[in-house]
Amino acid sequence: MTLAAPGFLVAAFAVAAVAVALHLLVLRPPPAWRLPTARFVPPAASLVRRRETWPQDRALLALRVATILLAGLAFAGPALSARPARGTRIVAVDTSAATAQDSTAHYLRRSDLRIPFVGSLSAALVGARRSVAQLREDSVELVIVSPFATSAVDAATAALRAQWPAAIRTVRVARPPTSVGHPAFSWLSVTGGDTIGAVIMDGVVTVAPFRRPRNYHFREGAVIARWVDGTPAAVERPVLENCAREIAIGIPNTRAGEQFRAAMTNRPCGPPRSPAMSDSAVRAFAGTGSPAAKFGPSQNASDDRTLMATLLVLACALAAAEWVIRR
Amino acid sequence: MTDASLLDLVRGVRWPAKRRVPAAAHGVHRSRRRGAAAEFTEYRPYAQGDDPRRIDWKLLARSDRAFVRLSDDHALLPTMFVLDTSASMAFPVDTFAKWQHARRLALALASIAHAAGDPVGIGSTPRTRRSIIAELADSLSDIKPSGTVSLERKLSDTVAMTREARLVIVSDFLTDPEDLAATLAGARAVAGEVYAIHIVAAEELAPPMRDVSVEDPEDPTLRRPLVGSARATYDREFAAWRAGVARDWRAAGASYVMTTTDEPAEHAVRRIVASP
Repeated sequence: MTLAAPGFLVAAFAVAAVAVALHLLVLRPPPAWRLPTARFVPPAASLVRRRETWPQDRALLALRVATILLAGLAFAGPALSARPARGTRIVAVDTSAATAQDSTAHYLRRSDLRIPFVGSLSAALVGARRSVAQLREDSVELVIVSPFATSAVDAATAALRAQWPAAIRTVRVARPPTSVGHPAFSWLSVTGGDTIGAVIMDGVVTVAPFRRPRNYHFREGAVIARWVDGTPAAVERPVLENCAREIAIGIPNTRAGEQFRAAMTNRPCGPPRSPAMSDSAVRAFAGTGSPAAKFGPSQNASDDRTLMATLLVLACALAAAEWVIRR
Repeated sequence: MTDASLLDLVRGVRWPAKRRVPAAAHGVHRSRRRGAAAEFTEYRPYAQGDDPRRIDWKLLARSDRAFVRLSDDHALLPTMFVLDTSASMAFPVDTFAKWQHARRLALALASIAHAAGDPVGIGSTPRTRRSIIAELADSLSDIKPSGTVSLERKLSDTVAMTREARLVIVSDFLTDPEDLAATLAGARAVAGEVYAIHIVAAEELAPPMRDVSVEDPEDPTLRRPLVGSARATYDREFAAWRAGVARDWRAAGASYVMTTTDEPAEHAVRRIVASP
């Protein structure tokens, strides 16, 4: 059996001790003694406080002590079922980041409840709320282990975050390295066509007088850059452990054009990687204050409430019995 | 100590009268009457009316003046005892030590008086017969102190039995103040000697240290707690009262002796007979 507020039981023991002490310190007349010279004793109240070595009303004292202890136990919030240790943590680990699992192995405690999720912080938050419902603990701490890429935040993340009533501990881990090697470039020489103002690659818009060839059709591949009107500007196809990159962009001899060329050249093979969330964004997501989230009584707490009510009823019954005995 | 051993211890103790006793049968106490006893005291010039047989003729022949021989006469002194038999004397309740002490003192004093030939009596006409001490011992052993007793009435009843006597009052004097005042007044009116023997129990002088609710055996409605600071007040009040009783008895011309129950009776008897 565990107690939610053992202080009440301790207080009940203290009150019971006081009751025992009061029973030992009673106000009653001392034993009578015939004394012919009693007239010389000053008149006073015939009741005096005496200290007994053994309480007289033992049944009444037992009843009172039992009443006090039962009431104290009831208010202490007893729970007969086993519950996790206090300070339970839910650790949501982004399993898409392979290194995260390894780097957090030493960080996890045995009593932690581990929730795996892939990429989305919303998934982590939903999983945490579901776990809270299964726990009997009213105070839970949430830890999210993730690379915290911008792609992990979606439209529902903010609303789900608002439903978690405490700060969240965030542990940023390194993102997994790309698994594809160096690309082979195929630059299309663009002499005609139109000039369009911007190209989007990996979410970054580069504005420059790029030239676009007319009616150019790429072979199959993943689009890695698009014109601002959405038409593909560059594609990439895997070739063994490397990739072949086909680029149909006329790059002007401007500073912005050269920067784009360098970005295209240095971009590793593979799908586009979303940038990591800034530290301030992660701090905003984590929130401030205590990390211990307080939730309302769980469904499982109804049993505990029943036990508490039973104990209180028993205490009241004993109090009534004391009244009957004293009468 | 048994009564017999106490009487053995006080045998030989003398209890002379403090003043000349009135003329009575021949006894050991100096009488106010001058007689013709063999024990010469002094000469007095012959006066008309004197018995010529008491003239010292040899002195007349030498001095040519007539003198009569005078000698002290000795007389008996009836000794009467007034014993307090109220409930306050039955203390402590398990030993009746106060009553036993009072009874033994009375018996020892009566024995001393009887040995001198004086008639003695306790609540009855004083007698001189040989068995009177045994009779008194028997009558006293049958008494169990109880209830309330008017000391003044006992005193007046005793005084009415004899004109002039030695009166011994043995009591704790814990009667009500009016009765005690009347007793003192009665004692002043007594023609003879008065002895006030004040019996005090050792437990009265030093009550138990534990908290108790004391109850007056003669007045059950008087119940008070003897606890804490009340003990000091009790000691002070009781001592003041004892001093007042001693002062009043001495002012009344009585010989006052206070004795406690833990004092050997033989020692108390010697103090009483030697008291001024």
